[in-house]
Amino acid sequence: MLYLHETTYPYTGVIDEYVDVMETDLLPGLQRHMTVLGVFRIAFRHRETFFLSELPQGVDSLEGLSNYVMHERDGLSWHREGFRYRDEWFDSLLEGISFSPDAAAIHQRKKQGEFTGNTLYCHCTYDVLPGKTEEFLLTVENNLIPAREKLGMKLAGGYRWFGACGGSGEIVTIWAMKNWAHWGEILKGERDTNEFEVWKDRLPDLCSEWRYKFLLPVPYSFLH
Amino acid sequence: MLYLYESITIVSRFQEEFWKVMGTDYLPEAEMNGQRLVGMFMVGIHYNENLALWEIDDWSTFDWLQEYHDKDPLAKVWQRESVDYRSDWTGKILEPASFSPTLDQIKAGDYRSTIYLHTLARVMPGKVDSYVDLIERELVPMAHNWGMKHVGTYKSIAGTATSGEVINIWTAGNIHSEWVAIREKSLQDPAYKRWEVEAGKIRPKVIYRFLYGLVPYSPLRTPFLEEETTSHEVRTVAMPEVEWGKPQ
Repeated sequence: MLYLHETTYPYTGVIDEYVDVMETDLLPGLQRHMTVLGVFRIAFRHRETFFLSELPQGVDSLEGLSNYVMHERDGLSWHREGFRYRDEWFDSLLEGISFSPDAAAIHQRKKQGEFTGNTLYCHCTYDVLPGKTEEFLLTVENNLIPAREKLGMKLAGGYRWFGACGGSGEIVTIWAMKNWAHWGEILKGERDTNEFEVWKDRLPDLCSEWRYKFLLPVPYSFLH
Repeated sequence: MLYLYESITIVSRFQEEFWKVMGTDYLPEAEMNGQRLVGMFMVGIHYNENLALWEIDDWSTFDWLQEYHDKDPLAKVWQRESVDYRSDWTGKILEPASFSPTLDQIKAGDYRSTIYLHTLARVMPGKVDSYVDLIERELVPMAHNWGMKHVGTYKSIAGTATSGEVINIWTAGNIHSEWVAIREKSLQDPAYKRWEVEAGKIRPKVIYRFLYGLVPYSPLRTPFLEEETTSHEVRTVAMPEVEWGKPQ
């Protein structure tokens, strides 16, 4: 399954209005072509948003998206309207990794109370060393995911580069958690989890570094 | 204890006015909500960057602050007002090393300095704790001998950050004589040469900045700026066009 990750930089002071107009003026048209999974603000930054969508028809969905912004009236209108709020954004086209839940799985798991009622998500990009990707993904699946799920975090997505903006060896993970207090408990709990100890020991051989940011779901975000 | 570290992009011509309105229109509310100012600095020498460091009791306070920023009418007013003064900002949450002084200790001690040295080290994966131990055992006593005081050592643990970030802040005196002497002593210290070799094995890169302590209400600030409550005419050290503390 393919996913579109979009990072947008709204002008200073308009982020609240920007996420409001996205709900009314962008999402209805966009949902004709893709499954919008999450709309987020970035914690401690009042001019960055993150948008996560699944492309149900793979690259063919991109064709529909191009039609939306170039030919369909609501898409053309949004394209102009959006410039009132932002002048910079970039997109990555990513492929879901085998252990990553797709939109249908997330929908099912929401019925069991997962991916709902969370006020915080962690977005982490790992720079995996050349030739170590398969080994890294195995360690994520066998050690990191069990360790974090024991502590109440849920993996909302795991992705690798497919096209557009990206870097070699990048693996992106997105995790759901309840709130900042929960993140504090996770940091404390990780120290006592065997799977996490294994993960921590393996990491220096597999990764050169990783970058993280924390995401705040807007009220209408499917992932929340 | 936790710390919020905000890097602020300032509209440079309004920097001093921003400090002033932040002191009157944001700081009192922030402190009431559990966000206590440790330092507000001009980054030297980068004229449109400021750094604010806040002390926070625990993780649940961040949830409370998020709620406050999203829903409280006064917080919304501040967000609109501050648009004129800052064009961007990003934040990290920092965990202090056990040997870092708390805000109370900073206030009770002698941590005044016109400039502070800020270092951001990028430590290799899995080596952060060893690096922090090295700082405590070797760098802090060394820097003390050169005339610097340790203000804090912190690890990035949330917000927008990169793996292996360790931030240090030190008093560095004034640029005219004290910093020159500190630097000279450090360069002649054989222990520092050994430190560079050893520490360099686990943190290949350190980025340096000066922080200027020119904000009168900031606990970390130059000794030439008195408390606003005790002085009504402090105009010479900071920016002369701003009449700090003058009765309205």
